[in-house]
Amino acid sequence: MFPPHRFSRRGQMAHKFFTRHFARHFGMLALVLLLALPVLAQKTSPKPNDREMDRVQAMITQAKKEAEQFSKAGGKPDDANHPNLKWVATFWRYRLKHPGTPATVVATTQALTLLNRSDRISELQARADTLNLNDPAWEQVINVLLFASIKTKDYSYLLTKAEALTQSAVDPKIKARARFNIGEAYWKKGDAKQARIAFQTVVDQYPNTSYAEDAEGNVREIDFLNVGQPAPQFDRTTIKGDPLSLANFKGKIVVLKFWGTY
Amino acid sequence: MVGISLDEDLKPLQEMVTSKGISWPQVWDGDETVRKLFNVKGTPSYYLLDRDGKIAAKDLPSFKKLSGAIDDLLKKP
Repeated sequence: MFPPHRFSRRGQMAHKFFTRHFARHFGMLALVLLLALPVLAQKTSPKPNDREMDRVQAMITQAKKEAEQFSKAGGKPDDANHPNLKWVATFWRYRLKHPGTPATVVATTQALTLLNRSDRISELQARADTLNLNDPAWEQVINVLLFASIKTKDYSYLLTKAEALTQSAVDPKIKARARFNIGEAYWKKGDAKQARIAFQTVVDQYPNTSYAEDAEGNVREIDFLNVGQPAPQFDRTTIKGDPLSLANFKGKIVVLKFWGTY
Repeated sequence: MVGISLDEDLKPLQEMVTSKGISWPQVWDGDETVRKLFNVKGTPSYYLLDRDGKIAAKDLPSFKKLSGAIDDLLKKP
């Protein structure tokens, strides 16, 4: 390291002592650090899954920004140069590179959502077809397919896929969501009878899930909340402390406004 | 008009009702009982009830749609 003439003999001895002991202690120190590093890393930096999720979220933000700029400049949603299409490819590449992670579920859903937004329904369906029925992304993807089918008023693909998922998916949450969306599709089609059957199946087969709770509400709506049926009665106190009973409004036209300050 | 607020907290609701001078009665539905009773899935959402307390219109996502439905109802005897 340093030329030896710069050391006195004592200095050289001291140097030897230092290097020997330092090397030994440094070795120990390095070993301790090495062992502690994974623990320290876990405490100070986010887990890989979180980091990947942040990365995908950043991609979504960027994609949104570019889409806004494009439409501000006069670009149309179905334009072949729309940045959404570039991002579909980016999200899909991410999907293929990182199979089976929570961030990949988000990336997959985003790719298909962008295709729906760009009205590329046949490409959306073709990409959805490449997903194995056990893919965890299905819980979200089956929703994208529902939105697309509502938009096009063509429910055949959604119904076929959702039926296949209720048969073959392993995750009960995906089966429940698929069955729920079958109900939504029939309801939108105007077939309340088939819709009710699907919602009731969700209630019976997947109890204690949020889908069962929503499905129960929909069954009740199909049964009791149709135009011409008497509105459900309720007695509450207003925020000013006055009693309010819906029954007291008889003879008046009433608007119930469900809202929130958020 | 009856307002049914699905706010989680009462305070922002009280503040907005005061600051905007909202005159119609407000019910705070923090426990979601009224929301569930009418199976409301999002806000804002309107139900229109006729003079007999029957549902005249629902799934009205905008004030414009609502006022059209009110006009129709007022034309009826």
